[in-house]
Amino acid sequence: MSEHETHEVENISTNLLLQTVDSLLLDGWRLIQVLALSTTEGYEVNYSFGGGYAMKTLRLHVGPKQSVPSITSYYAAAAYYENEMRDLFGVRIERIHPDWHNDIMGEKTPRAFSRVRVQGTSVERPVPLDAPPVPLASSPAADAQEGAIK
Amino acid sequence: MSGSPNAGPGLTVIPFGPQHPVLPEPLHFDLTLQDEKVVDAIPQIGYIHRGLEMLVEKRDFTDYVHVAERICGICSFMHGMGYCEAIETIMDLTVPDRGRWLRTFWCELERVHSHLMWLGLAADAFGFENLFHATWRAREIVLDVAEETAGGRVIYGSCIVGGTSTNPENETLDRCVKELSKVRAETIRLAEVFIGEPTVRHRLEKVGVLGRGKAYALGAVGPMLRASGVDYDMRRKGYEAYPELTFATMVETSGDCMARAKVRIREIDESLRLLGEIVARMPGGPVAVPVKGAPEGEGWVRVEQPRGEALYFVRANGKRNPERFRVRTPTFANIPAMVEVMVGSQLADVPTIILTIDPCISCTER
Amino acid sequence: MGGVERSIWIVHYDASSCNGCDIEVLACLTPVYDAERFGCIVTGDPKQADLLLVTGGVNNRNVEVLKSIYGQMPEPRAVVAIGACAYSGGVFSECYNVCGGVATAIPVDVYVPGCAAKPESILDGVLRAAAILKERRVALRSAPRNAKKGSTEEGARR
Repeated sequence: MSEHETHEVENISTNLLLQTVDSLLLDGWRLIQVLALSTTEGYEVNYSFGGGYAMKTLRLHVGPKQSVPSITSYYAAAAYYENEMRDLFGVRIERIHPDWHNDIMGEKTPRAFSRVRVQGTSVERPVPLDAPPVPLASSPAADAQEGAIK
Repeated sequence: MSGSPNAGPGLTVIPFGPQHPVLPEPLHFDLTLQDEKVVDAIPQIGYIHRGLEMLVEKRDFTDYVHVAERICGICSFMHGMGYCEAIETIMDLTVPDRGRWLRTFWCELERVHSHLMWLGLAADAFGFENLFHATWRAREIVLDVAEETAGGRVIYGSCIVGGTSTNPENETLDRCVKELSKVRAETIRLAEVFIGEPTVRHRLEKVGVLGRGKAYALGAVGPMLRASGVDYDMRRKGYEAYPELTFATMVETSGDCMARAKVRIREIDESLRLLGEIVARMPGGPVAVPVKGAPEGEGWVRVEQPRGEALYFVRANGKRNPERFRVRTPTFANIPAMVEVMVGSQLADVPTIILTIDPCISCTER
Repeated sequence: MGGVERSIWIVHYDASSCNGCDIEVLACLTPVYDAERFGCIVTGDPKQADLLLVTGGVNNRNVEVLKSIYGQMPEPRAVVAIGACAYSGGVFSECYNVCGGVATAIPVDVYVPGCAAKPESILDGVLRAAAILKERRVALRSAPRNAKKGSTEEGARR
């Protein structure tokens, strides 16, 4: 399959994200998706871009308390992915526009992905079905931070 | 609700959904209106969010296909196939020829069934009930073919990691092609009504226009993108038997609701033709390879669903349960473009606009 | 009017279903299966409906919506839960956002099996619910006027 030939994954650091995204936008790439994973160190965030049938993915590794700049000023469609990612995983994202303040999935939806993996395995810390929604540790802080920037 | 739109002077916020007569599925919008004109639309999801992406951690990777198929009951086969392909890329499995061609057969069958279903629902949305019933009657033939070849009407259950689980006889497939030719005749008849009828044209033409640049930049996919004049079809990238097939990509340029309808109607016809070709060229031999061991690594797969490009991502760590599964469904990609189109339209056109992106909320929320 | 069967007005709600059962419910209404021959008609308005068809399991967000739709329906009313998910959550029962079957939110009268449920069995479920509705109507009529509310079996269960 030609899948691998047309797809490259690039590891970048968080402070280079906006710069790289800007140059991708100028080169005519469009956003395909944003994807988060929980890892042993915190989160891994993947931004996939498409140009024609080729795909390019930028990969960030962020700590549980580290925040990621929003790319919504470059790609408006990213707002949906970033809001969802923040809602489900609790990844801190700075300056999403528009920001739906943890409301896109509804208040009662559990933030089940919002946890740090233990030793990279998946079943050590399952979320029981009857558990109350996991409080989203980052959201008030992130909101306060955002308020401060404005 | 903290995210509610600011209703200023002269503005009204009306909730649209979640239980709405036009939509079979719950989708909620806060529409901000100035008189009858929509000035802002904020989508609210979560009514069908199940969290099935996380279920991959509790299921064996070969069993998860059943869950992947149920991401959505409309494009179920392709969801199962996308997941299987991702696992196959990780494990370097090569699906035998007949398996690949059978999968392609079911993909195209699903496209026909999905587009016919959409045609009916769209007709129902603007109140043309006759057309709705006539389209769904034609669609039943497609479902019968699916049941005969795969074993299920909407959830096929025929895709497994390494190939397919069912292997219909060649005679069965030939008989199915004969049945499908009836659908083709019926579609041509229905298309005349859909494209030519003045009442339909009144509701669809010049409504919800999405420009070429906007469609591309906002990440629209599938018929939504092709109706705005972008020639983009994931099948061309070549997966399963598509590299060996030649097919036309349907592109329209006007970008309105009618263009989206035309793209889908022309795709039905092309897919039915393709189904005949697939059956005529169907190779023999086994349909699946045995799967040994457990996947380790990550796989990215993109396939063209009836609603557009879908992306599947699987990361596995050498255990029976993969670590993370992610699906980016076409409707999710189309929502920004849909909101863009809705802003500035008339309230009465909102149901038609929502319907013409062919939303699949179950996919979107997973 | 004792010999006349009433037509059943149906309201359909999709609680976290995968769409498979939903499109089969719609298929029931179209010419091949044609539920309208039994006098059924689908309405979008719960206040005019006799029968609630629910597909899919209940999740944390739609439980209130489901209860509110059920609450708006006039007595006598009946609920048909369609598919494996509506019974127990089905294939999604272990998902973090699925609370379980429809019975966790509202009382269910008829369960329709299948994943996805077939149109034939959905029609069967609707007809069984119609029989239940008829019994309830009779019970409501014979109950004393002031004790009407909560007099049916379903009301007692709530």
